[in-house]
Parts: sequence; C-alpha cells; structure tokens
Amino acid sequence: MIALRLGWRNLWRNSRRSLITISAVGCGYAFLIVLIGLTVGMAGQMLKNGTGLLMGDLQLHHSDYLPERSLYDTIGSNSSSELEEVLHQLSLYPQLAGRSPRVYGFGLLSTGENSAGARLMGVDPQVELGVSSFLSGLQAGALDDSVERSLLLGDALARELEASIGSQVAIVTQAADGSLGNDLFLVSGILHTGLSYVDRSLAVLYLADLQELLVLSPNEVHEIAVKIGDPMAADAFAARLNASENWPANTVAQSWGELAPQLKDYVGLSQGMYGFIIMIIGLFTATGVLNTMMMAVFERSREIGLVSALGMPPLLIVSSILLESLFLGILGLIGGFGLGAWGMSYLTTQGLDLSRWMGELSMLGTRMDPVLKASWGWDYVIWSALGLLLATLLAALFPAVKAARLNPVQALSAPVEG
Amino acid sequence: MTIVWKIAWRNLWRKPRRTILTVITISLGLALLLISLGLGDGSHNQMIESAVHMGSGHVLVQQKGYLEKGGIDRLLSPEEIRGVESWGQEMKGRFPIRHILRRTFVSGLASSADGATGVQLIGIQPLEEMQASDFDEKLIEGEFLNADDGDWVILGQGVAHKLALEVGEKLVLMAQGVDSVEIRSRLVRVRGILRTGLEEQDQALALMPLGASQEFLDLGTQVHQIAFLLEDSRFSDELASIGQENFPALEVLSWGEALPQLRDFIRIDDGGSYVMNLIFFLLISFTVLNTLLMSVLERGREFALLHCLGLTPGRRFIMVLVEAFFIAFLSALTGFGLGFSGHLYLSRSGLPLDLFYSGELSAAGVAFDPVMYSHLSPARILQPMILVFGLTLLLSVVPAWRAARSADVHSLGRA
Amino acid sequence: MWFGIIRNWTVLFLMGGLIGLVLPQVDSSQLSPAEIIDKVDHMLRGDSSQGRVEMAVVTRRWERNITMEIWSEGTEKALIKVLQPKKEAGTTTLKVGSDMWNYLPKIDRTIRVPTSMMMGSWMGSHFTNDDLVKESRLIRDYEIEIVYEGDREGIEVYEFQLTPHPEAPVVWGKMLYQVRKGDLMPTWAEYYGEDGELKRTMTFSDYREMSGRLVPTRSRMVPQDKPEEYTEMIYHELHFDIPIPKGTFSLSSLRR
Repeated sequence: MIALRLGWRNLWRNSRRSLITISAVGCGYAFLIVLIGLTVGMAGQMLKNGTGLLMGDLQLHHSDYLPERSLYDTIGSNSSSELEEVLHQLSLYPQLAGRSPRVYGFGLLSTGENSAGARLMGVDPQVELGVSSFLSGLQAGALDDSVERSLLLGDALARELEASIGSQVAIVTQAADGSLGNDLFLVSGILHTGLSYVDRSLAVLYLADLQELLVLSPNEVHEIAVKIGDPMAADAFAARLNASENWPANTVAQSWGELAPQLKDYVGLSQGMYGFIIMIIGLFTATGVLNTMMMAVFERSREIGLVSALGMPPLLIVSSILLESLFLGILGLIGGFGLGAWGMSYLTTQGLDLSRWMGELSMLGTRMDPVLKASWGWDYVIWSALGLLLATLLAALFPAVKAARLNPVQALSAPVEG
Repeated sequence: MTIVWKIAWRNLWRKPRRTILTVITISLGLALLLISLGLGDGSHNQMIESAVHMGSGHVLVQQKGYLEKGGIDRLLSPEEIRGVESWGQEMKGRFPIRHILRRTFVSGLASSADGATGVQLIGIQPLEEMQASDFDEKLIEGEFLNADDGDWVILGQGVAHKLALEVGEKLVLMAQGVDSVEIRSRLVRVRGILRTGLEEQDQALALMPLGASQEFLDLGTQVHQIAFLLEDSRFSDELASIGQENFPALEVLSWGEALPQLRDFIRIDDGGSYVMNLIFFLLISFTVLNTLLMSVLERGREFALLHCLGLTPGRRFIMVLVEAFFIAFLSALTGFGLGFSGHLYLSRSGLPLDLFYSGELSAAGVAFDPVMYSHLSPARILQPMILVFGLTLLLSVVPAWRAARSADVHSLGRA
Repeated sequence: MWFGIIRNWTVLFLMGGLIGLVLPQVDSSQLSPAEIIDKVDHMLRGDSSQGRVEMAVVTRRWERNITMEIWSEGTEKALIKVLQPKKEAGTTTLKVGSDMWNYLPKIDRTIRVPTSMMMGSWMGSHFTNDDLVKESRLIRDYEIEIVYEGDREGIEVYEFQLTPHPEAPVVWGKMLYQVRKGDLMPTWAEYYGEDGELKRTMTFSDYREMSGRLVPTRSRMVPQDKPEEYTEMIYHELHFDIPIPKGTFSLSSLRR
C-alpha cells in the first residue's frame, strides 16, 4: 500500500529525529515493564510470604470449623476413614506440592513461676516443611522426636514464661472428652517468625502429642494446609476440590484469597495500579510523539501542500502520517522490549536490595523480604505495548488531521521553516 | 549579555506549540511526583495518627520494662506522675503538645448471663480522651463515657457480641488487683459499643473511667501510662529522647518504639515508593532530555544563521541554557500549580480506596481509613520542584553544547 | 454453680431443720423470707461440710461420670478431690476466696487458674470456674421476696423471687426459687438474664436424710439453649459441722 511505503520512507527522512523519538518510546516501554514488574513482584512476594509462611495456598476444614474453631469440628469426626479419604483424594491431583494436617487447641502453659495462655498447634514437621516455612525460621532448636513431648515456643511467649530450651512446661487444656487434659512438655526450640500473633502466643508440638493431650483420635485433625505450585491458581483449585464427586461431604476447601481477603485485596490493588501506571507513562510518551509528529508535519508542509494540490486524497495523507507514527511506535516497542527484558532478567533474579531501609517487618500478617524481586508477566507486557501504541497513534492524530486540512496554496507559499 | 536573554525568551515563543508541549511534559512529571509523594506521606501520617489516637500516643511514659512485660504492678507513682506532667507542661512551649493523658491497663474477664470473655480493661480520662482520640468517633451504639461514670463501660463490638449485651445491660468485670491479691469483681453497665475496625481490639476492648478503674483495682492515684499526643508526629522522637533523659528510671517511648510493626510498615512502604518515584524521575529525565535535544536539533538552520550573524558558540551555548532555564522555571511553576491543586483536592476529599479494596483493611496492627488523604509539608513540595528544575537545567547542557558546536552553514541552503 | 447450690439449699434445709429443732413452736409462715434467710445465714457462719459426690455430665459430644470428695468451710473455702475415674483420680481443686488452684497428679503440678481461664467450664460441666469462685451470698446480693404461696400440682410451695441489688456483681437479672412449704426443700431454681430470658434451670430431687438432715441429694443443671445437655450432681455422703483439720484448705494439702 502506498500509505505504508510513504509512512516508512518519511520516517527515515529525518533519521536523527526519528531515532530520538523511537528511543523515547522504547525507554517508556522499558520503564513500564520494569515498574510494573517490580510492583507485581512485590505483591507476589508478599503473597508468597503470606501463604508460604504459615497459611499455605489452600486450607481444608470441617464445614463448621470456621469461624468459631470449635475443638470438635474436625476432619475425621464423621468417620474414622474420613481423613484418609480426604488425603487420598488430594493425592490424585498432580498440582499438589504438599499437604500438612494440623490440630489446634488452646491451653494454659505454666512453668514453675509463670503461666500464660497460648494457642497450641500440632504438626507433623516432615510434611509441614513441604507446605509452610515457619518451622525453618527457628531461632534455636527444633521439634525433637528423640525427646518425649517436645515443644516449640514463640520467642515472646518464651520470654513471658521465662522458659528456654530445656525448660519443662506444663500444658493444661480442656480436652475433647470434657476432662482436663494436662501433661508436661520439654521446650526444645524457640520460634521467631516476626509475626507477633505467632511469637507471642503460639506453642507448637507434635501432631500426635496434641491429639493425645486433647483426647482426639489419631484420625481427627482440624485443618489440612495445602500447597500447590502457583498461588494464583488456588481459587480454581479449591473450587475444583469442592465440586469433585468423591469429595467428602463435610470437608470444605478454601483458598488463601477466601481465608485472608486483605491479602487478596492488596494483590488486587497492585494489579489495579498497573493500569494506572500504563496510563501515565502512555501520556508521557504520547507527548513526546506529538512533539515529533508536529515537527515532521510542519517541516513537510510545503511538500504536503504540493502533493495535496496534485491530487493526493486527504485520507492518504492522514494514513501515511499515522502509519509513520505507528512505525515509530513499533520500532520503539521492539527496542524497549529488548531493554526492558534485559533489565528484568537482572531484577527477576538479583532483585533490588532494600535491606538498608527495612530490617524485618510484617505487613498484612506476613513477613516481608528486604530484597525486592520483579516478576515477569506476559499479560502486562502485552497490555503495556498496546497501551503505548495507542498513545502513539492518538498523538499523531492531531498533526495528521492538521496536515490533511492544510490549504495547499498557503502551504506552498509559506516560508521555509528553520 | 542581556541580549542573549531576550533572544532566548523570544525564541521560546516563536514556536509556542513546541514550548508549551515541553513545559507541559515536564510539569506533568513534576505534578505526578508531587501527588505521589503527597499520597504516600498522607497515608503514612494517617496510619500513625490512627494508631496513636486509638489507645496509644506519640510519646508514652511508663515504668521501665512495661512495654515488654506489662503487668498490673508496673505503675507510675504519684510523684512520678506529677513529675512527668509538669515536665510536659514545660515542654508545651517548645513542642506542639495537644494532650497529656493518663491511662491504666489490666486484663480481666467480663461475664454476662450469656457468656464470658477475656478483656483488656483500659482506664481513661473520658473528657480528655474524647478530645484527643478517636474512640468516641468509633462508637456504633450508645454514648461515650463521662468522668463520673463510675459504673459504666464502653465495650468493643466483639466483646458485646460474645456476651450478647446491648447498651444499658449489665456485666460483671473480674480482674486481679495489685500484688496478685484476690480477684475483684465489679458490676458495670454498657454505656456504648465501639468498633475500631481492628478485630484484635474489638474482641477485647473495654473502656472505663480512670477513677473507677483505680478504685476497682486498688491503684490509688497510680497509673500505668502517661501518653502525649502531639499536633505533628514528626516531633515524637525528639520529645521522647528529651523525656528519657529527664526520667532515666522510666521508659519514655516514641510511637515508633511502642509500635515497631507500624514503623516497619511505613519504612517498607517508603522503600517501595522510593523505587517507584525514582523510576518516574528517570522517565521524566529522559523525556526532558529528549524534548530539549530534539528542539535544538530542529533548529540547525537557525543556529547556522545566528552563527553567521555573529553569535559566538559560547553565546549560543548560553542561549540554549537560558532557554532551558526559562522552560525549567515555567515548568516548575505549572508543575507546582497542577501538583498542588491535585494535592489540595486530595487533601480535602481524598482518594477513596474502596475502588481497590472491598472490606476492612489493616496493616501492622492499624486499621486503614478507607479514604487516603494527601499530606505535603513545604519541604516535601520544594524537594521535587528543585530536583526537576535542577534536572532540566542539567540536562539542557547536552543540547546546549550541541547548539554551540553545530553551525552547519550548508543547512542554510536547504529548502 | 453447684457450690452456691450447696449454700442455697443448705440455707433452705437448715431453715427447716434448725428452725424445726430450735424453734419448734414458730410457724415458718410468720417469719418474712429475708428474716428467715438472715437467721439461717447467721447459723451458717463457720459451718463446714464434707461429702462424696458423683457428677454426671451429658453433652452433645460426650458423656462423663466423676466421683469426688468435697470439703467446705463457710462460703470461702472448698477443696474438691476427684476419686473416679482412674484417669483423673487425684485431680484436686482448691478454692480460697476468689482464687482457685488445680492440682494435676499426672504431672504433679499445681496450677493457679488465672482470671482469663475462669470462663472455662469446671471439669467439663455446665458450671464455670467462675461459678465456683463467685462469692454471691444470696442474702448479701439479692432482694428476696415471696411471689407465690400455694398449691402446685398437689404440693404446697413457696416461690421466691431473688432480685440482685443494684451493685451486686452478679450477672443474673433475677432468680426464681421454688421451695416446698412443708419441709422447706428446694425443688427448682431458674436463672434469668437481665433481658428476662431464662438462661438455665436447676432441679432438685431425691430427698434423703444425711447426717440427720433432709437434703435433696440429686440436683441437675440444664442450659436453656441446649436442653439435651445437663450436669447432674448426686450426693452419696454428706456430713455437716464436722471438724475439718487445719491446713486442709491450703496449697500443700492439694497434693495429698
């Protein structure tokens, strides 16, 4: 098409200017990729911390368990094979990366001198590590199976009880049969997660030990935490589980989004932000392109006047200018993509080390990593490209239309612009 | 020399469109930067104020070790209270201290005919707290306390729900007195129910007049904490350190020390914004450079002409610099105008967050206001303005140099 | 709480017993309710008791049976030791004033029950630790009046209404008691919230002589919101005014 060839050739008539504008678009695109990549990366990291630390991507409970968390609403309360059945059903899915059964209770912890109420959590450390990471954040020690009734305490809780590794702690709790469950435990580790609701009030013990203390059968648990490969797929996975035919009736799966909506909101916010950012940078780039195209049109106004007088249809004039700017945009995007991709390859692996600012902190119930890593996503890369391209086209619209409306006589007799 | 300035100025307006476009681009960048900073500062400020006004303070004075261990026995004696309060009065000259409040804290049990639950019982000075904090604004039912409401309490929504209580109904409070002596009981009635938005607080909060709590727990005139509320949180650290010097036997904390999670959150948010603003800034730089360079490159003929007319390269260099100076100046003004009006709007009406968020939002133990307000101090406004101004000038060196060098006489002949 | 119940019906049966013994000529109907109770309260000071109780708890989820030995002195002190089942034998609760401790033989520890645990049920029953500890002396805390005097299903009864004094630290809005006129044996007690809703009901039965006094040996507490559940106390043995060795109500005696 003539317009195409015209557009392309016009581009190179002032290669310096064109190159500058191309690089403007390119830089804009590169920045966009990096900026959004960092924002998404940060949200993703927070998500990973949120789900990876303690919660898991999904959790399974008895349908009545939440929100009261009654001792009696267990998976396994309906039949002794229920737990096995649930675990078996889970194992049929290839996305499953790990699953960890947990038991919860509440009790009074007492060393000789001090006592404090605490939440009790019974886990199986071997499978727990496949789902969550809080056990690897041990400040000291570990759950020890060579010791009878080994116990981990949150560090603030340990301080309150004035207990340390080797201390004996009595736990008293209301057991499931109504009696007063009580036993002596040995502190074999101190936990530090940075989350106050854990460090101040959590005591962790072996699943089997807690089941015994609470007089629950070994086939009863309160929760199964599940990890799949991609946290963003959790909602769909949970829905699938719940809808599956063989899924036990009283067990309900919930994704992290349902369990911690504020986390979900934050992730949603950062995703919403990038539309905003695209718009802003698009605006910038458009201004640059506008500048260029205006210049181009003015420079060639004599020529445009000439061809217009010779009978070139206005539509052709407009489209050749638009196409010129389209080429500008596309070339810019290609360059920008290269630059952006290069930047991202560094940022997705090394990331930005912000540890100067942050020590250890928590936000929305999760712990934050001081190294900010970007995250690549084809979706926003493509949307940004489209957005910028649109901006370039729109920017060129005004000069293009102006060019088409040029009065040939005036244009031809105007002094040459310098 | 002034002729260079005049020429520079007129150069700008010979091609008004180009100049205007350039100025708009730069000022847009500046305006966005200002708004971004304003919202960032504003939201952090909001969070601090929120936390401080909900039972904490900008500066807290307590018995040493109270922050870490708590305990009903860690009290401030009447002499210590007097000392701190008179020191506070003195400090009013130097610092914008709005309120000095006394508080007591104890954990206890609240029971009604329908159940029982653990509560954190806070003894407050109702009149002063009402002016100082947000407690009364968070009331969803009933009224706030009066100073002589000995037998009335305000409950957090979660507490009222668990005990199935409504305004006017009774409950029994049980708590351990000082020195772990017998457990005391007191009958009280619900004056009001409040909702902070923070679940942990709403599930355990019970407010009672200070005098009544002191009587109930046999504290005499002692309290656990004296809180200072300031007009501006930025003075907190300074006031706190002066306080600590004056009262070495006590612990004098700024909000950052009392609420480390909040302080950390603000730091990380700042870190993220820093990165974002930096990138913005780089983009602005690039755009400015691009625009300036391009306009110089376009004027090849003009410079050649000027060269022929006798304008030395040095002068041409200065001319372009001066043009850039004017552009920078104009951009700074317009940018400030745009940015500041944006800020004004946002500081009044705010940015409603429920576009993004659905429910309650909390972070670092503080409930977020669903509307984000902008907050800019003069320093914060000047920083980006100076930066952008300086940047424009700096970047104009390249095109200026280009202008000085190129004197392509051949371009004169081109049509 | 059942402990208050001991006092309650101790009060009431003593009314019958002692008044019958000491003041045979006085017709109980000539004394005002407050006067009656006041007189008995006087006689109750320094009273002590010792006995063996069986407690059955039925909830939606499980059923339990415990046998315990109890000692009490006045309204302030009590010691309760579990005898059966074997798993819990030796678990002992000590109450002195408003403080409570549990001794747990399995771990050989004495734990003080903090205020925050007072909301928990005592030994899994429908009574709370709080019930055990509450010092509500009926006469001190309530206004007592007779609201009905007459025939109910062929038995002559008094029905008392107890309204708490404005500042008494009790959670109830009111209590209703029914007492047999003839022998002053309690038949039932109803606990109401301030809103007028019935929250729980206590019924008494199996009246027998223990140590020369007529007492209801069976009492059952039923929560209104879960009527299929209940806690029932059966007294197998009860002695009054026996000398209790000094030091019984102390932490050291918990271990014995």
